[in-house]
Amino acid sequence: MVAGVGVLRRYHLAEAPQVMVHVADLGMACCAVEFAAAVSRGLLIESRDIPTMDPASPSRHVLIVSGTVTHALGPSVEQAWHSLPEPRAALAFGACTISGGPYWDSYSVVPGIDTIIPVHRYVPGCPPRPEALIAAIESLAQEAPLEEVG
Amino acid sequence: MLVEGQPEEWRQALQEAIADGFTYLDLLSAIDREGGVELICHLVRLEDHRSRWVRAFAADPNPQAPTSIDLLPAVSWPEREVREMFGVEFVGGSPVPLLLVDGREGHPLRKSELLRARQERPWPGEAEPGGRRARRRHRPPGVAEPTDSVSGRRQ
Amino acid sequence: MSDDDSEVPIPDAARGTIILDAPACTSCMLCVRECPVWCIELTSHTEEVDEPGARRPRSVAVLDSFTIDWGLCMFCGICVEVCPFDALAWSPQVEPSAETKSDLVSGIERLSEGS
Repeated sequence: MVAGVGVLRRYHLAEAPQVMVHVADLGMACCAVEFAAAVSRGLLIESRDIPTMDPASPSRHVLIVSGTVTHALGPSVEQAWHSLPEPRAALAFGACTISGGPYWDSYSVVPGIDTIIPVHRYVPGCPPRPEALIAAIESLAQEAPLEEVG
Repeated sequence: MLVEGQPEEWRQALQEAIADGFTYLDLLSAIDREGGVELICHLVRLEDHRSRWVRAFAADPNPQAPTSIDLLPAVSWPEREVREMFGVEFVGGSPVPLLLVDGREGHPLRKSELLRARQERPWPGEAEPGGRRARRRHRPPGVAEPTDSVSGRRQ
Repeated sequence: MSDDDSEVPIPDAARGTIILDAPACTSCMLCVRECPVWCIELTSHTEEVDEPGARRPRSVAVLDSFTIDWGLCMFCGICVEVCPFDALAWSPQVEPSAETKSDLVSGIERLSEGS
């Protein structure tokens, strides 16, 4: 299920509620289930109801691509990245998004999303655990805004 | 019940099956065989749940069969998929690709078509224990034997 | 949802990442060849070992480098299963994320950390 381009949900980390990470979750395949697991376990909390956000606290837009990206859907990933406002970062979640994973040699799979968008974090796994996702988001959120890579 | 035949008989057999009440398309697909492509179609008669298999062998090169899209509109997508994946020309049918990105050459589901990434990437398993020279080259699955480009002989 | 739900203890037998017992590795190349995604690379050289009482020295393969590219690894465990010397094993640790793809390639030192 590809999240609609332009759909951007705000999540904050349960352990660091002041750090707002605006996550665009592009759930393509199995890894999307681990993203959902992180949400259902309360590690990532949707921020609909946060009444006020401290403007001084760091906030970052993170595009999280979870799951195999086919050549046919590559443009949608690009579009999602380009529609994300600054400051922004992209996170490749799982082997398929890093290198194509099990489908590295496929005729229809993008061999790593870094071939189509800049990527700032790579989370290895097939799929990675929700804990790995949270740690990667945390490390991104705590950094100063990044220059666009590549 | 199985009906086998040449591509010319393919459409005829489908037409007869539909006339016999087998009007529900379960699948239309293909099997890569030596020397060509076997077309298979499974039609179901909903009244009594009986079904009929129709098969035909479309030989290389240029495997083809007449389209059945006017007999059963449901074959539209499967014919397009078999066309792009196996290279079978459904004469009179739709040339529009179904799944593959525009402009892509080749027919990926034929065994003769090797995955390019596998040919290009050096296989780490080539090396021998202790860095010794191998008597016979190990080759991973899906990678072609290299041929002498001049004589065409296998190395 | 209670806070306790977010803490899920990871069992010791969990297949988190793969670790190497380098002294046990004989450079037989089986893991490299069986890996479905070709994510393991191994180099080795041959050394002669004097065997007391033997007519001639024994040839032994010595491991030079062993890397796993976690960006390709699909954590299937075929390498662990196929190793005849149990040099590869599962560890419950979570393989950490990286800023670049090259940071995802682990050599002998990092692979041996969990051993």
